[in-house]
Amino acid sequence: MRTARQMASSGGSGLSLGRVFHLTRRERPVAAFFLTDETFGVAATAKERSFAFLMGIELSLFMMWNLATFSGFLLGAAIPDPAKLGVDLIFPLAFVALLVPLIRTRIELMVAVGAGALAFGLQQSLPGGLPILITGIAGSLLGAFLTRGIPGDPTIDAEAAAREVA
Amino acid sequence: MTFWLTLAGMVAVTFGSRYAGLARRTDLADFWIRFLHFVPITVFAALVTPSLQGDLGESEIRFLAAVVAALAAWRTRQLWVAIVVGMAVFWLLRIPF
Repeated sequence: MRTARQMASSGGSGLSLGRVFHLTRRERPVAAFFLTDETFGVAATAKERSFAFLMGIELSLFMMWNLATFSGFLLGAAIPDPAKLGVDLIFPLAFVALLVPLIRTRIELMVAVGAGALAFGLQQSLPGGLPILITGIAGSLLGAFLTRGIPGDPTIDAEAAAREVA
Repeated sequence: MTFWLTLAGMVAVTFGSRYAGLARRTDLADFWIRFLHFVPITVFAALVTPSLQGDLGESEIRFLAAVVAALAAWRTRQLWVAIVVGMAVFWLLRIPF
């Protein structure tokens, strides 16, 4: 399930990052290797756009991911039942926190709410990563359609707006 | 043998899709640039809602916790604050049930 989800999102995140991060031929495979949904989330909201910065994000997450996995492996036996504690809620909460700063206009808010509802509905009948793939495509098509006629690149405008706020 | 085949397949799919995306020198039509702008928004939203349901029949309080976490993220712009606030709300709401 994780694989299907990754396939669904990583092609898009690679494309999306490739547009804003200008990497050399040698840098690309390295950056691609450590790219995850989480690094993408942080990189997409960041202002800095260099290879070094991207690798900083990717390697810190890579290191923490493995350290945390290892400590979880060691501590796992000591904790009664992590599933019963409901700690899996951290996953959607983290993505809520990554999603919120991306929403700056009413259209973006509408598209995000619609995408959330669609994925929730699709999940009842479709397996694994499919709802995410379908939602990503359908939702982004809707977003692109709704923003037609708005002059300029919404990505660049949104980035400029973020810079002013920060 | 199956293990190595599976491993190679996983590498092809996970690394391949990322590299293909990053390596593309993009000169896209306006519509697709706007499309890409919405990819993180829709994908993150699609990652959130299905995993809010949970397996223990606590979807209502998990949903509420996520709404409060979203408000916290909006106010503070801090990832960890949103997670801490969300988990605190979830565990507090859990007590009466």
